[in-house]
Amino acid sequence: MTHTLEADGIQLDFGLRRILSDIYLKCETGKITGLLGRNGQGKSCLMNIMLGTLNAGSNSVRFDGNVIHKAGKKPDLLLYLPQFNFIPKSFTVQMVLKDFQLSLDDFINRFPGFKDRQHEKVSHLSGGQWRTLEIYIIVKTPSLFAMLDEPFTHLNPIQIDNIKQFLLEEKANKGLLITDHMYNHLLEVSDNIYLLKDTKTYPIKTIFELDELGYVNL
Amino acid sequence: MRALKLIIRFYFGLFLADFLISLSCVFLLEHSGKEAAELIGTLFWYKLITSVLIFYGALFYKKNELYYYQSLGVSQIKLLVSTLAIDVLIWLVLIIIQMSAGIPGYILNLILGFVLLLHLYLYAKK
Repeated sequence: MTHTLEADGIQLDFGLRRILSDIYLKCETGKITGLLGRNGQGKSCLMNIMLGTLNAGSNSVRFDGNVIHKAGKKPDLLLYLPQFNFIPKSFTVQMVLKDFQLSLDDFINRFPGFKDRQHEKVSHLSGGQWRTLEIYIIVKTPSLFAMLDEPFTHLNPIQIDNIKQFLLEEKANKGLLITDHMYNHLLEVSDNIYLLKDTKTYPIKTIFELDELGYVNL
Repeated sequence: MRALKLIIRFYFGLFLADFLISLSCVFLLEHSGKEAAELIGTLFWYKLITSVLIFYGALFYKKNELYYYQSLGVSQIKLLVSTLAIDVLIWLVLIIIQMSAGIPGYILNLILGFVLLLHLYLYAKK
């Protein structure tokens, strides 16, 4: 059964500055939805509104057509990867996987670079490995949807390829909403793309539309 | 059970500051002798205000980590209320022991020394 998560009619103002209006975005289980936009366009704000950690003047976040509030309090429904590191520095790799009830063997099989590093604190990992672990727990933990805010940051090209492959494998289990500035990678893995520009979302079919809307120079 | 484990782990990061405040209350009671009972009200507000300040500071410095606990189903409110409850409970137990049995000063010094050494050891291990 396919589930949907929609953000509709969201309006957000910071003082006199309008950040979001006329927003429509739809995620489906089994699909990856990409969200592009320049810095300061409100991508992270939109994710926080969907999560319920940021209050907007008006909004309608719907799960299977029903309005939901504070979706972030229901980890079986929606998980969120923030753009910064969120695993406490003193936790070890093994401890983190145990907290999320994930198999260490599966993790090491998927990312062999972590072999013999399970007892290390996350602060001793490289920035790329730390991010890989964070992406893994958010994507692998059972939930219907996951939102990833700049997952490719800190990753080297090989790690990015591994993560892209991992996301494509895991999209069968949930719906993913991803935002990142590395639009080429996002275009490769996404089934649907939206561009957030001048407070509005635009559904994108081809890269030429991104050029027309001034997001890239082709 | 998992939530309790996570709450205790979060509280451990604040334990030293909170425990020192609780211990200072017991020291004050120990030194005030017969007027100890009159101090309880003041010490309660002293403990509550300092705890709230410590938790406020923790929220500011550990705000990114709160997403970790949230992803595991432990919300910010649940984390705060639970850790504050544990902290006040420890304070209450120490006060009750002090009021009923009267912990000698040297025992308090030993507890203080032990807690500081334990934290020093754990910090060095980090």
